[in-house]
Amino acid sequence: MNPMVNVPAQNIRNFSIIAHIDHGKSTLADRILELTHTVNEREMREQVLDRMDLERERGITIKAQAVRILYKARNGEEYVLNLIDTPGHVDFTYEVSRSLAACEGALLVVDAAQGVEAQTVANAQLAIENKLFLIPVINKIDLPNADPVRAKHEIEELGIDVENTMLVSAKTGQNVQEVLEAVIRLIPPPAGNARNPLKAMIFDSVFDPYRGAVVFTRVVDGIIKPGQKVKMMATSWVSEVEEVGIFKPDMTPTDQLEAGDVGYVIAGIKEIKNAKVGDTMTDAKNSASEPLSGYKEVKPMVFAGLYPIDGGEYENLREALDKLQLNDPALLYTPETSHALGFGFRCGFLGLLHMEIVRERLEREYQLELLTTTPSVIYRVTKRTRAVQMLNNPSDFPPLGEIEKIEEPYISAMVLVPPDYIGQVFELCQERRGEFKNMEYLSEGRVEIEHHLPLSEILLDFFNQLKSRTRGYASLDYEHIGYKESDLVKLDVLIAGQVVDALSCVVCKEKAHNRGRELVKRLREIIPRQLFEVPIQAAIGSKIVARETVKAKKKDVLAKCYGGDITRKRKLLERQKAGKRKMKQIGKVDVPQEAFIAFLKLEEEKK
Amino acid sequence: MFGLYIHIPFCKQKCFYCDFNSYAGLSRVHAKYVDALLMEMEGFCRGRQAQTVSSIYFGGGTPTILGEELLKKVLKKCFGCFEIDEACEMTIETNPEALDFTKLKGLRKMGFNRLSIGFQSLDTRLLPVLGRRHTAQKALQSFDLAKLAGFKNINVDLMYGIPGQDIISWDSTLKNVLRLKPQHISIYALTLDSSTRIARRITKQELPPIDDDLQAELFNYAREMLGLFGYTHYEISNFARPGFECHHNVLYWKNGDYLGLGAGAHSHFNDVRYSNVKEPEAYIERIMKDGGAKAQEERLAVKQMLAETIFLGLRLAEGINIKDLGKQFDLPVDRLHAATIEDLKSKGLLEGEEQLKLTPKGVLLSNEVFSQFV
Repeated sequence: MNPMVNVPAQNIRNFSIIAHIDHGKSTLADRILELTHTVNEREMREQVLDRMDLERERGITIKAQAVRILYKARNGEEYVLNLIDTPGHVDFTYEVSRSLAACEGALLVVDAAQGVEAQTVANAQLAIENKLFLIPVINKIDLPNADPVRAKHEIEELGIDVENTMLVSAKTGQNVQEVLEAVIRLIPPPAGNARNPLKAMIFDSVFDPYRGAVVFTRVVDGIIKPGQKVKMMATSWVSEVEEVGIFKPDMTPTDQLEAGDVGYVIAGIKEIKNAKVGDTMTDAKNSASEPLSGYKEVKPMVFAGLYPIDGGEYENLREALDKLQLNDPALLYTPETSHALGFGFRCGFLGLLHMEIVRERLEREYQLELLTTTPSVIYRVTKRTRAVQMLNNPSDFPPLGEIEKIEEPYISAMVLVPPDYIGQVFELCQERRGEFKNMEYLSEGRVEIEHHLPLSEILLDFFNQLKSRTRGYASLDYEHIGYKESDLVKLDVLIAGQVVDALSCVVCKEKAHNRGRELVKRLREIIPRQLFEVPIQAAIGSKIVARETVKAKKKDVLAKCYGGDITRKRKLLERQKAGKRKMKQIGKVDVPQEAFIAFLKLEEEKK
Repeated sequence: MFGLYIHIPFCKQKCFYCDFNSYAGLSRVHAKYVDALLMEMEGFCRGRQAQTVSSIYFGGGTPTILGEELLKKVLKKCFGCFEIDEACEMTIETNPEALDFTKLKGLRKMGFNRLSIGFQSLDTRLLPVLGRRHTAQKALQSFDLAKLAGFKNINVDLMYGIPGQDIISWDSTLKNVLRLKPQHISIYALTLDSSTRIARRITKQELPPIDDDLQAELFNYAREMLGLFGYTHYEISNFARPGFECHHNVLYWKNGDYLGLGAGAHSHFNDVRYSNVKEPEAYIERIMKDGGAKAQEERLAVKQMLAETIFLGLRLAEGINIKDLGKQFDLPVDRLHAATIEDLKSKGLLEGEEQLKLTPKGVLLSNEVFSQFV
């Protein structure tokens, strides 16, 4: 079948597949591609659409992908099905919503055994917000513990029409063809007029080092073709279109894209910031009067410091971040300096997963050895002078006396659990300064519990704790709900009487003493003994809340030294001297780089 | 002129802390090893004028394990190859359980005039921890026998910081040794290579870990006591009655020349340091093939020689003479290291003007000092 065949607009279907993680979204996509011979046997790798190694490893989709499928339906007509595969994690909600905005309908995939889970709800809501027609697809019916009846019931409870629910096994292929028929039958063709001024939504982009940004787009109105001058409506950036095409899933140039089509545009865009997700492309000469709705500037939610362990790698880190940002406009970073660690970057991420992905890519693709300092949030600090500062680095905080109040970002956390674990969820949320808001039985075996929590409390292993205390049954989704005042203080760490800015942190007052004790104890174990006693203190303002002492070194001697190994001894001494030179000086105290690394390292395993 | 060191890498059994180049169970190799030693000596001396040897030291392992015949063979070759003064210090190392009167008389007769006995500890509870195969009784007895056999220059090796050792135990050991009135006492802190049995036991928490602070305390205690009993603390770990310093070892600390024969032995001549193949049978094979068994060699730059001279010389109580050093190396040593010396003096680790030496505090923290000069 010739993929270049042009079908009438009413034979186009733009749809997406949304699901909770591991419910089978990608497998279903694979089956559909296979069934329609979009990808041949040889090209078929497990979950073809997941391009990046990382994605494949973790079994998640990070970037949106689009594929044009040609399908001859039972009625004999040919249809173009544009399948848009969306990122599957709550960190990338905005990207998901834009991908969905490019569609008219979606398959809501639910695991027949697991039933509705947190992301099912979240993604369904996004789809509904974007006015998509939802087709519930209950997957994995081949498994022994599948309970499609219950799953269907749970979907219904979400307010979704279950009349057209399909039961499938993406793994075996059972009923997948029926799904395609349902897509044709139920999902509306794109509305939109090829004669109107161009309006094309950017729902993702990829950076090609030779050609610049490859913009993934859904043309809503008008036509776009090579030679045309297009304008990005949010940034007013203008450039000339070099190439347009479709995904088969490989990029294939075409003469033009018109209203209803999904494809890509290459327009000599050298900087990805000029092709923002959610923005509208229009004709530079014959512009649309209004952009498409739904465009938002990305806002990072989580911050952490990234430092090269070897200071000499700073430039390489910067280059690597520049390159990553090309394909990840949500990644923000600014240079930062730390007394203890030297030069590095304060990076902003959409969430913890995003941060982990970036970290791993830096380490793997760019061979950088990095220290990630504990993630933090942006605090809103109001000074007594009424001046308000948004600060994410504790060492930037004004002195205690000047602070009127400190506010921190809060989230609304929705936890879905079986009733057996209600107690554990409450316990964990209370531990994390949570305020109980609501509890609702979604079904007999499923309770939804809502708490308001400070974002900072979930940054470190909240999810892991939740999973382990509920034996894996709990699922979590969260939403940012703005700032609230908390009784927060800045905890300083002093070594030999000197404040070490890199070690300062912000804690809630009630936990400050304990945290201070923890910190000094850890430091005492890490800082090597000097020729003199070294006091280590934790302080809030000028008040010392905890103290430990590193005793003075009494012995550093080689007892036996004969002709046997003078060379070896000399080399050992040379190494001792070299090691000293690499130490950071905090006053007169020699602290090895490793100490800061050990101390500041993401404390994932600690708790 | 140089010192002569001969390594005998054989023992009946390995002690649990030992990381020296020594092996148990190789008795069938002893004779061949001695032949190799002879060949190595031959290889060194051939074609040269007989060199003057200022001291001879048989170390190991347990050198006495060779037995009288083999030892005599080695010594005979030494006398044949080198110019050996009548007053030349000739030391042999040994262990209490390896000694009896006959053996001791034999050693004395063949020419050894200095004996070094490894006591380690006289605390019966600690000897098995170390894996020593003698009792405190035997140790004391071996000393008396040595005296009877005619040895007038005896060294006792002691160890402190043994897991389970406290100051009372140390005090008792020291006093019992002092009662014997040895001419020379060496005290060593127990340090463990991770491959040793004791280290493994500590990792498994069967033994308490080594306590650096306690070791410091025990060292200071011994230092004081030995001083009170008339021993000169002439080197970091070595104490001697006046005139009984170990000539051979002083040579090392004065960065003199020495020839090392045998498996893993080290040599130093001017700006060259080299060492032999370590494993005994490999050593023998090399000697048979090449006549020599050099495995590693290093040619030292002037700065390295200076550094070595400094950190070796500072081990001696007399310290180093900055002016002489400057002349010896034709370098402005006092200016080169002015800042370092000032800094170390201000930390209370060094003292003296032209004659620089470690302070008592500096002795225990000598690595802090030495590392600044390399």
